[in-house]
Amino acid sequence: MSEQMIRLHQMKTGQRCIVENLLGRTRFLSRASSMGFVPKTVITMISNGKRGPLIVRLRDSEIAIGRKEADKIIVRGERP
Amino acid sequence: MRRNDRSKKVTIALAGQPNTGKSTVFNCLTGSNQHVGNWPGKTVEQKSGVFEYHDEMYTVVDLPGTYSLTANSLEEKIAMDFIIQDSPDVVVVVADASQMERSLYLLTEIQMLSVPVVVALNMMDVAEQMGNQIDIGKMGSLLGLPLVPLTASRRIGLDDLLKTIERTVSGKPEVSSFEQRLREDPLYHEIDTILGDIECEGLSLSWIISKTMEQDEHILSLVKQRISASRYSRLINILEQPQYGRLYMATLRYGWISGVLRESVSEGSDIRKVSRGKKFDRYATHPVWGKVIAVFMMISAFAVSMMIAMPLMGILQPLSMSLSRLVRDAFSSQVPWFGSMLSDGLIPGVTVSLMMLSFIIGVYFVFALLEDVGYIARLAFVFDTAMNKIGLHGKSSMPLFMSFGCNIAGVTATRVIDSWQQRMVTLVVVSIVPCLALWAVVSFMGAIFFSAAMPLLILSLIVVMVAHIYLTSYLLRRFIVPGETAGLIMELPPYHRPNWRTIFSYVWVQMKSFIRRAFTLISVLSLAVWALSYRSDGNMELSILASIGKFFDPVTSFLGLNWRLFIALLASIIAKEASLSVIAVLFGLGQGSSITSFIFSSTAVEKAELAGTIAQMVSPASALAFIFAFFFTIPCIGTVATIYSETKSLKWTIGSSLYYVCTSLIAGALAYRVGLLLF
Ligand SMILES: Nc1nc2c(ncn2[C@@H]2O[C@H](COP(=O)(O)OP(=O)(O)O)[C@@H](O)[C@H]2O)c(=O)[nH]1
Repeated sequence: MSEQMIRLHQMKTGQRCIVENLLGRTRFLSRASSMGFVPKTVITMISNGKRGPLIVRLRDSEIAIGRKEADKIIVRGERP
Repeated sequence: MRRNDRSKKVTIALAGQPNTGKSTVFNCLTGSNQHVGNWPGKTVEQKSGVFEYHDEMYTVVDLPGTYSLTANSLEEKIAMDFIIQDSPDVVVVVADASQMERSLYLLTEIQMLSVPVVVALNMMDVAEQMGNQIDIGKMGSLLGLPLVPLTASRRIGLDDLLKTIERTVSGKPEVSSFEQRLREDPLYHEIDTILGDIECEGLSLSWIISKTMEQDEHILSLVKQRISASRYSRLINILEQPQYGRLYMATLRYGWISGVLRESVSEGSDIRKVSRGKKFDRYATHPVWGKVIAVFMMISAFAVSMMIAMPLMGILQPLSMSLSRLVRDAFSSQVPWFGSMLSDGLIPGVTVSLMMLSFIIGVYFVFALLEDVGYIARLAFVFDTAMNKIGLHGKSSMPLFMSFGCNIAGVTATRVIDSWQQRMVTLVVVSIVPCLALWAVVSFMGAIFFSAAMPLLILSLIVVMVAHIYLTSYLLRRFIVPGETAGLIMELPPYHRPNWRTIFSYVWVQMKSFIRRAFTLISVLSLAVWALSYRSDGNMELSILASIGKFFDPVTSFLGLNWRLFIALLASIIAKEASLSVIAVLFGLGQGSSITSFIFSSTAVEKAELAGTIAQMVSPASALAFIFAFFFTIPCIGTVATIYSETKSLKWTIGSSLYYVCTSLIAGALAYRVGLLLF
């Protein structure tokens, strides 16, 4: 199983990944990190449909995140 | 019991991330001794309360629930400013024992503000169900702070919390272990040497350094003003070294939290077991089923509110009608105007307020319930994409939908929105939506003139409405309440069993606040309208209001409205249905001595006869103008009063009212021009 860098929204439902880095402006970063997204965080994809926001699980919480925002989160995970 | 004088009151600030049970803790502490107001100069709600413990008076101030403390949003700024400027005697940080890693994040920030802190670890029952073993003693010493386990919903641990608060207030603030940990950090150390002993708006040095490490824009600009250019560029150089980066500080925070938890908590294996409502959640967040459930929830919310209100309204209406008659008769021989003032002005006003109150109790109740259970976040989730199209967030969907039933409910529903900017935009936008009562008038007028073209009329009204909402939302976000958003990142809190005590105390407190503001405003407004439209001979054509209407004739004729229709338009401010009765009177088919008296008699209109008369006296283009102007005019008095009670700001209330009046006139004028071309 090879690991590769992808964006959070490219993960499939049920997959797990580790946050590698976050892109974007300070405002987004501070919001995202206060909700638990920092490098090395383990994330489980709870729901990822074709459109609309995603639901992920991290640090015992469920977080809904928009696709645009998920595109700023680089993760390392199983090949999709 | 001896009461200490006010100056010796101890102030407790209650902080915590959303959904950690902060409101529940607040209720436990204060009971019903609560006061809702606004934060000074802001339209953000502030709850405070008092209680007495061991002969000492305590004031609890509920800070806005935020995930972190930056200057990014108004709520965060309010929370931060309160801690810094009002320096409370102690800050109680509520954390969630079932989601400790995340909910302790805020603590790592508050600790830096050099205030005495007590950590309340709430939801201990949930953590236990998950099989988590928390060694409180060990965790407390690792945190370097007093730590109290709590199950606020069952009031377990409260006494311990009170004791700890008492002890912390009289003792010295302890240096937290996170601060010690930070001081060993190389980046912290380097920044410390560059900044020297900088003075910044009363902020502690460790706060300044930690926020600099985060590259917080606000702090960086403060720092820049206070140190030399060369030192500042050295600072930026260090911050830009690859091993640090903008997430370095956040990573340190979580690293410290994980360290503490690793040594004091042994996690249970059955996290899944307690995830209440997992199955339901699959549907509640489903792109199709989720929306179906959400719409169903909103309709039931409205229905429940009506069910609570209906019986009360049924009693109130006849009651105040007979009271009104009694009063009128009592005064009719000596001072008829006074009798009319009471019976046509004050009594209807108070009745409307009471009817509104009975309705709004239901609305408050339903929101408190949906919020408490944790459903609102799901509703916001499924409608987020749709709402984004008009520049709003998912949470705005609830107020918008409710508004189709009644604008009052819509305005009240904006309280589920946690971002101030979004709340204000939604609050103004919500009244553009037509309520049920409004349709009654539109369909009556529409049927007279555009029988076959009704669907087309309705369609065009809706198209204009959507454009109006879009434009209003844009204008507000562009000019009045600017502020970029961080996009959608929202917690979906676990479902909880409803806590009736919290819900009822919420309804009670909100009701008191509503009575104080809305009652006064409605009474004043209905007395004013009464005064303008009163004529002792009952001939409204000669009232002040009619003269105003005639005075504005040059303006209104631009809209194709004669003064009669214009007055009817004005009357809709009392209640949308009142317009029909006023039309009836002005077109010579009814009687009444004041507009306000129509609140009772709006059904007593001979519709068929009225339709005939109107059709003769009004041109289709004018009718079209009236319908459009009416559709978008200022919402009823109840909604205006609700805007006031929700924002607690006269500025916003008057400003939005004027805005509606203007847009309504514009819509009317445009419709008239189009009408002239068409007919
Ligand atoms: N099981 C459990 N539920 C709690 C506890 N404290 C609060 N709750 C529930 O958690 C939910 C959120 O609480 P609330 O006080 O509204 O949270 P806030 O958003 O932080 O103000 C509500 O349904 C409460 O009834 C607790 O100690 N145990």
